[in-house]
Amino acid sequence: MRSPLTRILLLLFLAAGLVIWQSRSRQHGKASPPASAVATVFSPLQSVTLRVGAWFMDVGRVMVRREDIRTENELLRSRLANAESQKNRLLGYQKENLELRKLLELPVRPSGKALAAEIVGYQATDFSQRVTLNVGSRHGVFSKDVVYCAYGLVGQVIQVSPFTSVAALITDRESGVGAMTARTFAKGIVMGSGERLCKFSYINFNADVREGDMVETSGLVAGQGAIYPRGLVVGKVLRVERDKAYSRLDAYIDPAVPFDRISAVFVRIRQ
Amino acid sequence: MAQLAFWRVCLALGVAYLIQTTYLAQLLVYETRCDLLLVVVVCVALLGGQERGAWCGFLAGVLSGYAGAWHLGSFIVSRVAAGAAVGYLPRKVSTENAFAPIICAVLGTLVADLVFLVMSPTNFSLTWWLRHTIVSCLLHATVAYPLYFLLKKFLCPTAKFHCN
Repeated sequence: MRSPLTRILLLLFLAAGLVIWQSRSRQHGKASPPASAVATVFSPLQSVTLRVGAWFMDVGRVMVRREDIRTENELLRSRLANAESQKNRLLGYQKENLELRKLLELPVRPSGKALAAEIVGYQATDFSQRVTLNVGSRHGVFSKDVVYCAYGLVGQVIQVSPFTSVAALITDRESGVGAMTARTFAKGIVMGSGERLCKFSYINFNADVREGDMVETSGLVAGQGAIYPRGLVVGKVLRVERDKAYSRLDAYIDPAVPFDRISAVFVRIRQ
Repeated sequence: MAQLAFWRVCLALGVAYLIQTTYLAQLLVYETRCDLLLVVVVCVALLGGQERGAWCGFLAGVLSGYAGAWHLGSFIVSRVAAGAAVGYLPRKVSTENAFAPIICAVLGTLVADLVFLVMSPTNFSLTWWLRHTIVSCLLHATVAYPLYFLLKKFLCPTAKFHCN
């Protein structure tokens, strides 16, 4: 009979094997076969669990707040009409912009295709800020694809398995996004802190950054992460910190996306 | 220690994982989440002993690591350490103690978080870690008590008091 300590050591050896397997697959942006198997088994169950919960919530909401829903519906309809007219106007500008770029012989910006995805799972612990999406390599998703929603930038895909993928949110500790202020184009990198707020660092000390400034993606590469297309809303500057001793300027950003309330996102896949 | 049915432990972990990654992850208390998988590991270790606790910790670590696609090794070792540490306790401390689930949940959380802090390649600020650990200990202690009795009924249905 083997002692419990020997068995625990055997477990740790097994763990080492799994870690090596995982890190080798990770180098190619893919999940290891055991991780893919776990995701494939659990993602339909997670999806069903979330839908059942959402159904009960909907029923409860309808029973309790019927009048509110009717008012909200009317408000949303008027907003939709407004958004539609705004979209048509922007499409006109986009067309004009493309024509002008062609005249100036500027290269056409690479565009991707938006793939709708559902969030089927959230991170299991506090140490990371990640979500599981119900789209994977079979749907054309690759590692480093950009994830966004109507509110703005959500994050990037970091691991892909055949039917699911894991996306790191911009609040994740390992996230870095090339960004700039919409008002003054002051450039820097928005880094996740693992908490609600993100840190906007590496800004020129003399740059004009103020509280309330909107921050959006700059289209510049930050580290080895995804190349975020220019103009995606990241958030709003909450507070600015100037350290004269080190000539450092940092800003704290409140992300535009309410991460706890979104259930569906878009993945910008390559064409 | 009693032999807890392996499939029952796996099923309990699977259900905990589902609840954790769908609903519990969205419930924040002072920006901290309750880690249901870790509490299940603690309860299984209390009921089944060191070896079962370590096995359960291994499976919980694999699930947590795969869910975040992040630091798989740190998750596995921290959960195995928590399971083994709590499973080792009943030999010294009586499991007849009414406060055993609460004390073990706090101990398991401390061990898991400490091992994770030491092993993880990511640098966590000490203030964040302290706040996270304190709130986690309180959350896990609250959840541990009802979960322990629920799991005891499910994992060892024939036992009158304790599995061991």
